[in-house]
Amino acid sequence: MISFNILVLVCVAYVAFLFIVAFWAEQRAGQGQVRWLRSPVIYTLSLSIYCTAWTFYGAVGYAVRSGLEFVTIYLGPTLVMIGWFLILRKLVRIRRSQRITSIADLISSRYGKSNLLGILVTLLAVVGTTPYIALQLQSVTLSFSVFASADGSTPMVEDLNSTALIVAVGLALFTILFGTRRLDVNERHSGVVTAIAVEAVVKLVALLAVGAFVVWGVSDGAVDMMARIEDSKIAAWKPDGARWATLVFLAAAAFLCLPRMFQVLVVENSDECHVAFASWAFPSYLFLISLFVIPIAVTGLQVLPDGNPDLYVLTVPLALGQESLAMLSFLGGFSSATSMVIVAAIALSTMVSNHIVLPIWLNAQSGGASVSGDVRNVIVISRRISIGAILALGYLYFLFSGGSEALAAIGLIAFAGVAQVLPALLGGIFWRGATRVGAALGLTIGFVIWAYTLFLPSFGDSVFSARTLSEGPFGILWLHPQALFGIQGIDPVVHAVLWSMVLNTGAFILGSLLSLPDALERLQGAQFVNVFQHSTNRARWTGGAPEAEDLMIMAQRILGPSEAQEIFRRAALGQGKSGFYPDTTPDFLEMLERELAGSVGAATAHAMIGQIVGGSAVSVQDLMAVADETAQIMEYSSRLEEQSQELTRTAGQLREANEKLTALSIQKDAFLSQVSHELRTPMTSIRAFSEVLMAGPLAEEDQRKFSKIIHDEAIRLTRLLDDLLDLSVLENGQVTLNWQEVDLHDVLDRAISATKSLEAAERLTIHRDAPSEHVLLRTDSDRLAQVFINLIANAQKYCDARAPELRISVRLDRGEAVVSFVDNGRGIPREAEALIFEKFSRLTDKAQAGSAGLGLAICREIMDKLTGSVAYIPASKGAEFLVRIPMAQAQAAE
Amino acid sequence: MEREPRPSDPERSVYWGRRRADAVRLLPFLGILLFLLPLLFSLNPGALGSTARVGLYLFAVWALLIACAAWLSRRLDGAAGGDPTADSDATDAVPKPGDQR
Repeated sequence: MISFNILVLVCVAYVAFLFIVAFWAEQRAGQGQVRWLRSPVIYTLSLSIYCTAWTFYGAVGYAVRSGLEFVTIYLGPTLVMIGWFLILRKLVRIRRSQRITSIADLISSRYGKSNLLGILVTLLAVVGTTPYIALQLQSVTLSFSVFASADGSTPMVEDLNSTALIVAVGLALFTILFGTRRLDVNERHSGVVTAIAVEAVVKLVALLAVGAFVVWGVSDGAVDMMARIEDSKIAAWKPDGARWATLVFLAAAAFLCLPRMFQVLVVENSDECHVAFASWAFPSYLFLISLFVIPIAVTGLQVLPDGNPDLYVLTVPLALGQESLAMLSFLGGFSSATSMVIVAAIALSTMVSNHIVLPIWLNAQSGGASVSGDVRNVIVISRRISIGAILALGYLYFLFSGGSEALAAIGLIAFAGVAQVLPALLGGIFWRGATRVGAALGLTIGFVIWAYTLFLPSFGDSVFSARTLSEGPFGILWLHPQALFGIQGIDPVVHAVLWSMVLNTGAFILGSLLSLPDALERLQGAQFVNVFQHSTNRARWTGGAPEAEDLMIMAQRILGPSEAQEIFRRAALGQGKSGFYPDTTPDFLEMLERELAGSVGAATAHAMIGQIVGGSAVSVQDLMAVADETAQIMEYSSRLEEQSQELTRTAGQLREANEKLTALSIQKDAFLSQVSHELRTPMTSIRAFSEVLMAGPLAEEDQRKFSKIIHDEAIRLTRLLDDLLDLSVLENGQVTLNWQEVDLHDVLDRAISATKSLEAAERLTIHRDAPSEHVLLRTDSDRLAQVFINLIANAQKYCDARAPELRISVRLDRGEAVVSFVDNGRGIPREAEALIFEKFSRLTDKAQAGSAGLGLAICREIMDKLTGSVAYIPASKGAEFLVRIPMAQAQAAE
Repeated sequence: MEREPRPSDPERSVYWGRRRADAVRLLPFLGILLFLLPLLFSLNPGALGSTARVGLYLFAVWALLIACAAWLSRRLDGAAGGDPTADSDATDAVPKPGDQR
């Protein structure tokens, strides 16, 4: 006989072992060595918390009472897992892209981040889970009592209660320690998951061992076992079709909606491929767990026909002297009870802190949660308190509940309760038309019907009077809690599930069809239902060194390698780690985001980090902020580009101006050298002849001649200087013109009479056509005369025909008078045509008297100022000069 | 996740990949049918099944479903697991694992 104390010792050792495992797992995960956690086997094993003590002990009891019906509890989840492609895959994808942390979060987020729905689901979960926790405590204490009574001593109720208390406290400790020590952004708890996986193995091994013992130890193999089943009390199968179908459906619904199952199935999932693996691996687990239930039940009926069938798994080995097997079985039962409680406490505390405590606290804060450290503290504290409260509630329920009978039925009642979330859940992920109003209506009605038809009647006389339970409240048969609408004879569970689900779904659909969702709801609806179009299946482990590596790559690209490495190393040092990769804690991520924001803007940094860390899609708000910043950056850069273009233009203009100035400077130098040359020539003559005159007495004839030469040269010099001045005045635009209306004929008369006095004038014959010359001009008559004089004087000087003639003719052309001066000389050689209007250009070497070569240059300037022109036209014979003068307005209009 | 060897005809492998995805979607309905079959017994109260034999049937069907799921999931992962192109026949592009759009 095993001493009770040894059992306690073994138990404590096992618990210590679990603590160590959890601690070791967290350390390894913290260092980023998470390869084993990536294994789909761990994920599959963690799903085993579905099999609680209700499975380990209660399945055999269920089988003894109702035969094969127990298997429906495991067929439901099998169908859900096999159908992973339809539902689970979408849930997992949604969780990753929307960063869902619990089932209440999913519902609340889907329906426009509604707090009301979050609270509703949380309350429903707490109400449904508390009795279940009590059931686990009951199982543990019962198993302890089995060994205590086998030991010979009858356990006292107080002892049992204190055992339960110790277990509850220990569980609270474990959960607080490994569930809330660090706030993980993704709500992952690697220590807990690993411990759960270990417990899953233990309970499977224990059950299989007992089963193997029963089949091959007590019976003689499988065939013998079958024969015994045929001979047993449960040989005949009396199926209740409605109950069968209902229970399969209920188990499937609960598998999805139970908070603890949602936690391990969806929230703790890191890779969609794991779901594919678990789709066949977990049903295999369930298969193995269920395989030996009937054999154990049948053997128990044979060996201990009067015993508590719920405990056959323990009592049968004990009765047959297999003490170590019984110990193993005890540990299996202990594992199944504790793993459920731990995960349920974590899931519930997450929901309570996120949806009840935090909103209240945030409302109470007048300034808002400006410091995130504040919020984290509140969350951690509220979670720890919630865990303690939930376990306390479970313990109290256990204390005040009735015997085991009442508790055993609780399993199905709890399932039916959480199944009320199913319509809102499935509708939410498949139907964009599902609205918050519909979901709230459905949930409320479902909850009420469930409570009225199943939950409250389970308390027996304490809630509903006996009369109510037999004839309906106040005698109204239609409202009978277990026979609504007067339809009697239905099994209570089936009845409750039927009406609650039908009315729940109906209210949900009706409510959704008749209400209009707000903008956020519509957006969330699209994001959830169309999640496959918005996200990718990136089979990546999030959390740990690989993530830090991704962050490092990104940071290097933005900040540059040396600075990024410096930041990371500093952070790692701050966390007490050596090397380059710190843990991706929220603090570190915040700091990194700040650093990056300095370069790419806050919105972009947030989006980039969110992508890598959470694998989540960028929210619309984030996108808008990024677009804003991008627009600003683009505006700034386009302004910069404008400025730089302007600068280029200005530089070009400066270059051009510089070139012009250089050219002008060269021109000026040329001009100066020419002028000085022109001035020196007459000066030389004057000096020379004055020296001769000064030298000594000369004949009067010579004196007169030399004086005349000096005089002439002086006049020439003066004329040159006058011309220079004139030209300068003309070029600088400082000339004042005397605009008048004059007759061309008069100007020509003046010019010709002025040139008559010049030398060689009498040789030139001038032909005029007087009548055509009467044109009214708008011009400065003096200056125009100067031009004509120049041209006529040139003809006098340079026309080298034997009988020089000058023909002056006038015609009108487009508002201008065109005066043509044609002589009959040789004309001007072609190569000199371009030069004649330049300053100081003379076509002959001999300096003609009084000619400085400026004449035509002055003409051109004058005509330019008179808005006319003078040009040389090569004529067939001789030289032709064309002068264009604008006509007076009245004349031009003719 | 195993990958198919390079197919000689890419379109055929895409087609079979989609059919596999369809099979995965249909398997649970087959499971529902098979698991609810024992209900037929309740329609005829006179015919009592034996726990042993019905139990055998249930566990056999269960094992069969598990085997089918295992086989389909393995193959599905390599080709079009979780890939949106497997959701619709709209595109004929060869789906790559983890590819999007």
